[in-house]
Order: sequence, then C-alpha cells, then structure tokens
Amino acid sequence: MKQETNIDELLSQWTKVDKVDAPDYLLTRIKAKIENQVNDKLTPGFAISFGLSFILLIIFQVSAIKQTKETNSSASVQNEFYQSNDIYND
Amino acid sequence: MQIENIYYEYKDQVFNLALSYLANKEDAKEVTQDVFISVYQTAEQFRGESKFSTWIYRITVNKSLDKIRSRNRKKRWATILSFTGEKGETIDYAVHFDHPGVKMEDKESLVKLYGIIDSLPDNQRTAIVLTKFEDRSQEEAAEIMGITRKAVESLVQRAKKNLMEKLEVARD
Repeated sequence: MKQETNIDELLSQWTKVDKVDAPDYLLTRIKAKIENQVNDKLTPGFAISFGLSFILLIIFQVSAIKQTKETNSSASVQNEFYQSNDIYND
Repeated sequence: MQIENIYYEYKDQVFNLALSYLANKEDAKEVTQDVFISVYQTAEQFRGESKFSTWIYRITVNKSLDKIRSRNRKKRWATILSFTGEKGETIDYAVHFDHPGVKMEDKESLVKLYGIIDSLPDNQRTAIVLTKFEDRSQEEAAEIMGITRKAVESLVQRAKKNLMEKLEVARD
C-alpha cells in the first residue's frame, strides 16, 4: 500500500504542470497543408480521361502496325504474282 | 466544414493532450496540425455515435502515439548507427523535454516522471495520461479509448504496478 501511495504521489506531480494555449498561427499552417493536399491530388475525372486516352493510343498504334504488316504482306504477294507472270511474258 | 471554428474550439485541449504524451512543444505542434488536418479529411466518417470532442481526442491520442513510435524508431536507428561508427540523430530525453507548462524548478522531477511513463505500453500510458494527467473520469477515458470503464481501471492498476517495479529497479 505504501508503494502505491508513492506512485500516486509521483503521478500527482503532474498537477504542477500548467495548461498552455495552442498558438493561433498553427491554423494558417493547417489551412496551407490542406490546400497543398487538394492541389496535389488528381481529380478522378482527369485520371480516368488520361488513362482512357492512353489505352486508345496503344490500341491505335497496334492496329496501325498490323495494318502496315498486312499491306506489306499483300504487296509482296502481288509482286510475286507479277514476277511469275513475267516468266510467261518473256 | 469550417475548420477555423473547430480549431478555435478544440485547439487548447488537443495541444495540451499532445503535450501530455510528448513533453515537447514542437512535437506537440506537429501533432496538433496533423489532428486538425485529419479531422478535416475524415469528417464525413464521423458517424455521431460518440461526442465530437471524444472523436477529436481519440484522433489526438492516436497521432501522439504515432509520433512517439516515430521518435523511438529514430532512437533505435541512432543506436544501430552508433555501433557502426556512423553518426545518427540521438534523442536525449532530458534535452528533448520541452514542456512550456513546466517551471524550471519542477523540470528535473517531471523529466524523471516522463521517463518512466514513456516506458509503459501504449494502452497503459494512455489510461494514465487521460485519468491522471488530463484529469478525465474513467468513463470519459473509456469512451475515448473505445473500451469499458472496467478495462480502464484494470489498465491504470497494471500501469501503477509497472511503475512500482521500474522504480524498484531504478533504486537497485
């Protein structure tokens, strides 16, 4: 019991501590940090538009490459056809 | 949400509660800012099941404990660096103690008190801080901590037992 009394006495030293006022200027800092966080975030609409545009661009590029390959392939088949016909013309 | 109104109504309670945990005015200012930013960002999540003040104090408790963990990580890292011969940021508790509500003549004894409170587990420390330092009733402390009054009573008893053991070790 005596030890518990000592602990209570120890803890009661806290009554010597005065309450203090929080500085008013902290509000300015708080508002600035909130403002920065809002500016840093992408709006969802912007993010979605950007993402969709990027995906469309990739699809367009892939189909363009495929188109080019098909065109080249049919051109080479035609060339072979004409070349083979030339044999008969000679 | 009008953050100004909330700030002026609760700033002193938040700041003093943070000081009770951290005993350092710069750390307490950082925590105070974090608390009100968090209040602003999560206001929609407040369901009204407890009082608004209880919710703000709960955020303050959590942010203060986060700050203490961050401080302790720096201490551990500094110890590791000291073994490798590199310089790290060391935290001397007596130097770190900078509570604006403490008079110079009381500083030494209060630094000792903080030192042993600092060694308690988080929930025991919170129970002691709320009931002994902040002068809250056990019911109020229970509401802030989200536990029962009996649990707060048990935590306070265990904290006192821990403190007694640490004082015994210090004497030996």
